[in-house]
Amino acid sequence: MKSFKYIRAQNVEDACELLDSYGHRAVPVAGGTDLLVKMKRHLLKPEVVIDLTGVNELKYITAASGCIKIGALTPLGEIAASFFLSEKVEILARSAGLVGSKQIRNLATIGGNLCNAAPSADTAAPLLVLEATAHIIGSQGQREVALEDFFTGPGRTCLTRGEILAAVSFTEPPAQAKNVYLKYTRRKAMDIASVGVALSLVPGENVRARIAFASVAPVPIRIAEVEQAIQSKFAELNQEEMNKDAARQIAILASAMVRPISDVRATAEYRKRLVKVLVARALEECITGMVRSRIV
Amino acid sequence: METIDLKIKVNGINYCLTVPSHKTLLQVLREECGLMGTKEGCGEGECGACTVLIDGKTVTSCLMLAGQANGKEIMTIEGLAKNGELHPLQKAFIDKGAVQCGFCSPGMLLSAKALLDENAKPSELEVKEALSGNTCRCTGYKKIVEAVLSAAENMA
Repeated sequence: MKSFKYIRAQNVEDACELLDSYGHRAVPVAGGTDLLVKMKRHLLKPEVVIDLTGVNELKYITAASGCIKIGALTPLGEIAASFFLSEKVEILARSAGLVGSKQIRNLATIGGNLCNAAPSADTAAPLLVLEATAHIIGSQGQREVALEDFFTGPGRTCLTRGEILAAVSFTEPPAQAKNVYLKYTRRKAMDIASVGVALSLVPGENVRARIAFASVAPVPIRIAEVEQAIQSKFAELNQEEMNKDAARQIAILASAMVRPISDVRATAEYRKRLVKVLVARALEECITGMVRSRIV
Repeated sequence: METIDLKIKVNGINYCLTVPSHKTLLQVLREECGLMGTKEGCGEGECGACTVLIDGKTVTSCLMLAGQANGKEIMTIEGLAKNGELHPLQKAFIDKGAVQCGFCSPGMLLSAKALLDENAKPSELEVKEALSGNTCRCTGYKKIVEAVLSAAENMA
C-alpha cells in the first residue's frame, strides 16, 4: 500500500471533523475488510486514513419502544451471535453470519457492509425488508434516510463530505412475522451472493409482504410489484393456504422484473433463474412457517 | 514517510514499536516482532493463513492496519505451546497427519483453538464451519477435521 497518515478518531465528533477537514484526501476505516483489499489493489490511494474502531459509542445493539437500533461499528460477528437478535430478528442475525468467514466477521462492521454498498451486501436486503432507517451524523448535524435511499450506485452511498453512518434502526418485527434470507453461493462458505433474496411476510387481515434482492441490480433493491403480487395472492386465496403454484407464479414475475448483469460469479440468465428458484423457496418457507403457526 | 507508535502485547510479551503507518498487523508481527509463524497467503483475507487471535477472537491480520492493533492482546501460533509443551491441538495435528506443507497450519490451529474455547464439544459440521475461513491446498481437510475432533475429546 502507498504510505498514508493514520489518525485514530477519538469519538463521533472527532471522526466527522477529521473527515470534513481532509475531504477527498481521507477515507474512514472500520473493520477494513473491504477497504484494505481496495487499498492493496491500489483502487484507493488515500493520503489519510481515519480509524473509526475506537469510536465505541457506535458499537451497540439496543431496543426501546419496539424499535431496534444497531450502531454502525458493531461487528458482524457480534450481530450474528446476538441472542437477542437471533430471537427477535433472526433474518438479520443470520445474514450477518453469512458474510465472509469467522475471521472477517470479527473485524467487519454492519456500517462497513452498508457503506461499502456492494449490490451483494448480505445485511442490505434483510434491512430493506425490515424497512430500516439509516442514521447519519456529519459535521453539519444529523439526518435520517430510508435505507432504500441510502444506496445510490454500486459502491456508492448518499453520504456527503464529513458524514458517517452512525446506526441503522427498524421497528421490531411482530412475533408472527415470517422473515427469511436466502443467499445463493457457489461455495458453501466464504463467498459473495450470486443472488440474495430477503422476504418478510406479516400475517393479519391483510398479509403484508416485503421482498428485497441482492446482486440483481446496481444496488440492493426492493421490488414493489412483486410485493403487491404477493399481497394480492394472499387476498385472493385467503380462505385456503397459498399453494406451490401461487408461489411459482410470483417467482416467475420476480424473475421477469430483474435485470441483472453477467459477471465473474454468474451470468444474467442464471441470476434470473436463481431469482425464480429462490423467490419460490422463500415464499414456501415463509408460508410453511405461517401454516405451522396456524396464522394463515 | 508517516510512522506511528505502537504498544501491543503478543503472546504475553509487550512490544513498543515505531512502524510505518501503512503496515498491516501481519507485517508488524513478521517484520518487527520476528514472529514468522503467521503467514501471508492471499493478502486479502480470503485464505486465513494470516489468522491470529486478538482478545481471543480470530482475525485476518493481513487486513488490519498496524494502528488498529494498538493496545491489543494478540496470540500468534508461537503462543500456542506453553513452556515447550505442545498444545493438544498441535499434538492431534501431528498424530492425525493433518500437516503436509504446514503453511495453513498456524491459521488452522488458531481457528480451531478459538472454536474449542467457545465450544468444547463441536460436531463435525461445527468444526468445518469454524475452519471455513482457512484454506488448505494439500490435505483435503479430512485429517484436519479429525485432528480437531480428536483434540476436543482429549481436552474434555
